[in-house]
Amino acid sequence: MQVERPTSRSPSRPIADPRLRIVAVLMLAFCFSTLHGALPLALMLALTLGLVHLSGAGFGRLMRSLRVPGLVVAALVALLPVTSGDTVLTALGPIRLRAEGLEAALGIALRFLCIFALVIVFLATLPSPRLVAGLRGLGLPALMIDMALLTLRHIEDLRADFARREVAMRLRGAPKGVWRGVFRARGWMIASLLLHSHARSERVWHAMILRGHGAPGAAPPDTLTASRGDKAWLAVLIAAAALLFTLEALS
Amino acid sequence: MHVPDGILPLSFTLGGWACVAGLTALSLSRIAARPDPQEGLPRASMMTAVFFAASLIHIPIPPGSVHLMLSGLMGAMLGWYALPAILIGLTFQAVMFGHGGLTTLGLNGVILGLPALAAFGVTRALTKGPGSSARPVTQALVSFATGAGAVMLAVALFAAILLAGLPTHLDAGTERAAILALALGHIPLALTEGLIVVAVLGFLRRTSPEMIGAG
Repeated sequence: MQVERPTSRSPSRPIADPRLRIVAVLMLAFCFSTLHGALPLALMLALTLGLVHLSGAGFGRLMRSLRVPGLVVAALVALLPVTSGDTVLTALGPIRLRAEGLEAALGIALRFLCIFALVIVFLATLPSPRLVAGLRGLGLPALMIDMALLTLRHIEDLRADFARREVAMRLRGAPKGVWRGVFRARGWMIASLLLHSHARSERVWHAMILRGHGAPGAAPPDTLTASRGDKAWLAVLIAAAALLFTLEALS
Repeated sequence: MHVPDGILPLSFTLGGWACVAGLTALSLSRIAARPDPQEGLPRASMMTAVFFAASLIHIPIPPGSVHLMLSGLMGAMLGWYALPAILIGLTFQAVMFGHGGLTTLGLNGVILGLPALAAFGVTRALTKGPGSSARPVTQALVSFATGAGAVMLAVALFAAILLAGLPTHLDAGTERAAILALALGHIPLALTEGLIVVAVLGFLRRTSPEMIGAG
């Protein structure tokens, strides 16, 4: 598993403010998920390609990110054309290609790819602390913000700890038997990792409290300000979403 | 067991967000009613990181290996903190890997969060109720049910939501076959997760029983 780390050259186009980015992506994603007509789907694809190009994130990254999440969609796209619908387009032995299933599969694949591209281009390129700042700016409860920040702090440590323990377990040799060797050994390894990580998490949290985190009078988190350009881009994207909705309603 | 974007209609995805918002509000209100709501925060964050990185944890089941889902363990260990923790984990998975979906974040929260809350209920009944001094065998059986049951409940929710929301209708035979294939395909994961939860909770009960059932 690889987490792509945003670089200092993370795309800031077309919207830099994380709050507006989140709003824009959510609005477009929900809009895209309603489209079924040929024209709205074609415009959705064109808009997505334009936004990917503008963001400068690159298609290579998109293709790399697609490997795992596409499995459920790939299964549906493979199955629907041969299992769903009554209008048979062609038959290859017992397998019949059906029009309704093919249409549904194409729509699913297109909508999935476009929403996936939006998420990767707009949100995956955002440094994680900026993403959390955006969520805070949108009013996510403070407890969940603190949980998210602490989680980000633990992910790398946990990954390293887990890899170390797994190597150590392999070097020591697992006990014999399925229960003792596979399940109990792994379960105890996970449990000891949880204990160790919990102790570290407590230490980090208490250190944050001692430094004044959340205390009355503590320095407020950085405030986000949306530029005129960001607001203009959001307005353009709202207009594009409204156009797609209208075309879908008319088609 | 994540529903991706682009498959389900707007009514389903918005309904999922509404359901998960309600469940989160309930969870946060229960957490706020605790004497120190932030007490469980370090444990919840640590478990969120584990949930986020769950694909790291391979259990060798010949001929391949399975990844843990961890909903049952999250529920047993975090109580009401489990749902916000799962939502944060799902958000990071969707944003960083594109795993799951953005419009389906609510539904995925329900699919993994409800089993976690069910697991919490079962664990609390055992640890706080009249069965708190239950024999180790009973505790192991309940732990197994917590882990395996959470997987099967999540599979049932996933299959029901996906089949009901597909934009085209499958015939009854295909639907039955799909549900059967999903259920049979997840039995190894359910058994594995049940046994791993037995081992993890057994270890924690002996070393740090306060880590279980944060309520």
